[in-house]
Amino acid sequence: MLESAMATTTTRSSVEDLRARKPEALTAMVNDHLPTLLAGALAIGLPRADAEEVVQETFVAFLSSLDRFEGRSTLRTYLFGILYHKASNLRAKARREEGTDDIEAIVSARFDEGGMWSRPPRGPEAVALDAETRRWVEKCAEGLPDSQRAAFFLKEVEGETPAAICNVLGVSATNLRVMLHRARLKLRECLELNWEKNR
Amino acid sequence: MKLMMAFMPNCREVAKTLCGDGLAAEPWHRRLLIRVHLSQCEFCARFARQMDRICEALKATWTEPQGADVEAFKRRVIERLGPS
Repeated sequence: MLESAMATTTTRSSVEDLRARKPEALTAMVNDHLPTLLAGALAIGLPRADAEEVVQETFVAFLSSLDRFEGRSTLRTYLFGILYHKASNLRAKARREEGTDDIEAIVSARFDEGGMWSRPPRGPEAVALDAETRRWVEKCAEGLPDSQRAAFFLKEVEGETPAAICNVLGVSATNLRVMLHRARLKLRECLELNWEKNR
Repeated sequence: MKLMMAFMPNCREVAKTLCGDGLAAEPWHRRLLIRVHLSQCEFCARFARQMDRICEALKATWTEPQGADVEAFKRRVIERLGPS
């Protein structure tokens, strides 16, 4: 309770300092949040130059609309929300939105009527987390829609709560579950293809 | 044992849980059943290990960038945001 109250006080005073453009407040905000935002922009799939541009524009947009930040979400999640919308606009996400893939059908075909594997998962028994595997996973992740990548980044890397992720992405809890479910299935299917090709 | 087998989730249901909210989101009795299933089903166990590795690989790939170029980028952003 005390920690929560202290956090709120700190956020309030920081917001006041940011409004006044105090150099130490700006420096603290950038130092605290820029690395995460940059990682998020790269995870969504932006090239480095675009990622830096979007991160910069995110801070500018946040400062120019500070009054809208009510402290209901953490500053990091709020900033990520701005970043996500800017990144999505840049990437014209409509071209690769959910619903256009048939991953559910592909996975469904792997089970028989009794729900047992009819086409069991292939690939190595123990997958080593080496550079090559990471490269494949990264390559497979490039095939995911922006929203799924963002959801995966926030959930698995940043450890955000489902409520915070729904707020950032503007989706319902059910939609988020479906997005993460599809993202994981697609990544595994894609990796299996790579394992088979390189066997 | 027979009773347990009657409630045992099938492979499709286990895969769905592993790709969804994960074991932690399940009630204790369902977690137990899925763990028993995983200990007996080679394919589902493989599927589970692969899913874990995918998450670990993405966590390792999507780390926060560091280094001199990030520090230089921070300085540029602070300069742009500062009072003009």
